[in-house]
Amino acid sequence: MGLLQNVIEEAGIAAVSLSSNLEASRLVRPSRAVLIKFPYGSLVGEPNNADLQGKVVLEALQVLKEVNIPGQIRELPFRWKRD
Amino acid sequence: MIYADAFLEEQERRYQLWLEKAGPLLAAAKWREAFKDYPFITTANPPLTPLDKELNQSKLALISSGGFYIKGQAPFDTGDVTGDYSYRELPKEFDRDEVGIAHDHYPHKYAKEDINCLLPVDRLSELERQGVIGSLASPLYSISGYIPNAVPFIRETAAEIASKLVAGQVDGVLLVPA
Repeated sequence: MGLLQNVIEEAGIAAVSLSSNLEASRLVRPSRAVLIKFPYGSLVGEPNNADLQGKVVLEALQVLKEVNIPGQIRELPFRWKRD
Repeated sequence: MIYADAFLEEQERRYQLWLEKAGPLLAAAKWREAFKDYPFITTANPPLTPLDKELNQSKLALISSGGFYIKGQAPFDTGDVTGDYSYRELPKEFDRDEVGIAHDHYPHKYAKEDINCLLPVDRLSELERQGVIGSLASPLYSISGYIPNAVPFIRETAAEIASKLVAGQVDGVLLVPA
């Protein structure tokens, strides 16, 4: 995902990715990333929790707009509540 | 170029060496052991393009590596241990009953219950209606997140998607991994 992201950046389009794997993100170094401690298969948030999903998407878009230092990873504070 | 030809040729060589050792482990589904020394494609200096418009003026594209495909499209090849580096284009309005998942390396239960867990198309459409973003671009792009054979993915798939985004006058992209 980070490889695709960097190719898109190089083509002149701003990009941001979600990540739950800090180790992989530090290796691949995508242009901008948002770190979320959610389970694999649900990085945007719990199923049918539109409020939480919306907050995650909006935070990622803020990073897209605000972060202009390459390789920055911003950690989000959201918690996974569902079992 | 960030991933220049000579760099990718060297990566391809490292990947083939890894695959000689890891191939039997992949075939035996010993993932942790196989990927222990996987040669990640790294970079010290990622490129970055500023988003020069406000979000509410920006056309945004969505890419997910959840392995989604829709009725009429071929599923990703999950039988190939080196991965399937192709991509699918999904219209931004699609029938949720016609979506399939071809990706064996993450639990599908969340996305099956609510596709927005990995492909937040409803959330981005809401932001478009609220005027928070300019628009959500169509198509959405879907890839498989399991692509050990990453060099042809960079050379073909990533290059093709990037040029389509440029042609579609997309301003910004959100990528969601599985």
